[in-house]
Amino acid sequence: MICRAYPFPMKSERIILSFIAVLVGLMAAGGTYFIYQHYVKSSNKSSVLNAAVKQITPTQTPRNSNDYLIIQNPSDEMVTDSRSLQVNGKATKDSTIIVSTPSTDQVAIASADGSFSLTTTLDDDTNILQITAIFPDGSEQKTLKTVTYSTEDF
Amino acid sequence: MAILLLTTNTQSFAVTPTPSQNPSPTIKPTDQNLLNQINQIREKVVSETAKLKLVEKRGIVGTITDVSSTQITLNDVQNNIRIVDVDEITKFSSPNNASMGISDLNKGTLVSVLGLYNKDTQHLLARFIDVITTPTYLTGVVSSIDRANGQFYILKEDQKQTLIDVETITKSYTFTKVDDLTKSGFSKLAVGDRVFIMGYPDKNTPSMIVANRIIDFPEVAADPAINVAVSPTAQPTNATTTTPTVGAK
Repeated sequence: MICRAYPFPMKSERIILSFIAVLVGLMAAGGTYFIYQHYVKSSNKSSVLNAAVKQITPTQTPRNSNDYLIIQNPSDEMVTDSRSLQVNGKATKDSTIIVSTPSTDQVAIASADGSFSLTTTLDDDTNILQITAIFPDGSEQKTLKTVTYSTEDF
Repeated sequence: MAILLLTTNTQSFAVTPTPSQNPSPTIKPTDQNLLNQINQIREKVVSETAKLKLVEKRGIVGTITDVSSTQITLNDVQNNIRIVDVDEITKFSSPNNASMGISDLNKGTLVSVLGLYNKDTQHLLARFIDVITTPTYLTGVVSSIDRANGQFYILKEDQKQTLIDVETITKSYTFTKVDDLTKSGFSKLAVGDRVFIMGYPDKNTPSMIVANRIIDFPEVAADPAINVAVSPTAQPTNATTTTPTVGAK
C-alpha cells in the first residue's frame, strides 16, 4: 500500500466519522426532545397544582378595589407625652371610621374627599389602637397602631 | 582676573533673592491640649448627632418567642419578629409580680416594651418591659341572641362565630349619622345588626368574650363577606342548650 499525503480521510474513516456525526446528532435531538417533554409535563403539573390550590384556598371577601384606609397620624410605635391623640387619615368617602383604645371609642364618617380626623385619649403606657373602616358597601378594613403615653425621660 | 571673578560671584550672590526663613512653628504644650480638646468635642458632637438620627423612642407590643439573659425576641402585633436588648437598667413590671425580672418572662407572654430603637441595628434597647393584657376588638353581625342569659353570637368575616357575654359593666351604644354615638341597651340589639365589640376573653371560657363596650351600627350596610342565613345558629336560640360553655362560666 502506498502512503501519500491526502487532504481527506480514507473511505473507512469517513464512514466511521459520518456514523459518529449521525449518532451525535441523534443524541442532541433526543436530549432536546426529552428536555422539552419534561418542561411541558412540569408546567402542566404546576398548573394543575395551582388549580388545586385555588380550589382549596378560601375565597377572599370580594372587595371594591377602590376602597381604602390610610392612617396619616399616629405613626406606629410612636411615644408621646400628651394624653390627647389626634387620629387622622383618609378612607373611601362616607366610610364609618371607628377608633378604639382600651378605654374609649370614637366614631366618625369620612368626608366627601375621604378625610377624617378624630381625637382620642390615651391610657397610661402602651395603647393598642384599632382603627376600623366600614366602607359604604359593608366591607371593612382594620389596622392596628401601637402608641405609648410616657413622660419618662430616658 | 581672579579678583574680578571673585567680585562678580559675590555680587550675584547678593542679587539673588533669598527666601527669608521664618522660624518653624513650634506648638506649645498648651496649644496641643486645646487642639485635643477641640477634637474631642468635635467627635462627641458628631457622635451625638449620629445618635440622634439613629436612635428614637419607641413602644412595641408583642408575644415572647424566645428569651435569654440579655435579649428577648418578640412577635409583635403586626406579626414581625423584633429583637429587644435588655441591660441592667431595664425595669420590669407585671400586675401579678411586683419584683419581677427577665428570668420571670416566658415564651408566650404578652409584653409591652418601651425603649430606644436603633434604626441601624433595628434592635430596641428596653427601658421598661411590662406584662400586659390587651383587649379583643371584634366586628361582625349579630347572628343569634339569648336575652335570658344576656349573651349573643356574632358572625365575623372569617365565617366564625364568637359568643359575646353582656355583663353589668358592659356599656352599649348606637351610632347613627344624625345622633352620633348615643347610649343604648342590650334589649335594642337585633339579629342582623352590625356591631363592634371591645372586651376580654372570659377567664373560664376563653373563647367567650366578656364585652366592655358594644356599638350597634343599624345604618351600616351588611358585610358582603358575612352571610347570616347560612349560619347554623342564625336563628335566635337558647344559649343554655346550644353552647355548653355557658354552664362553665
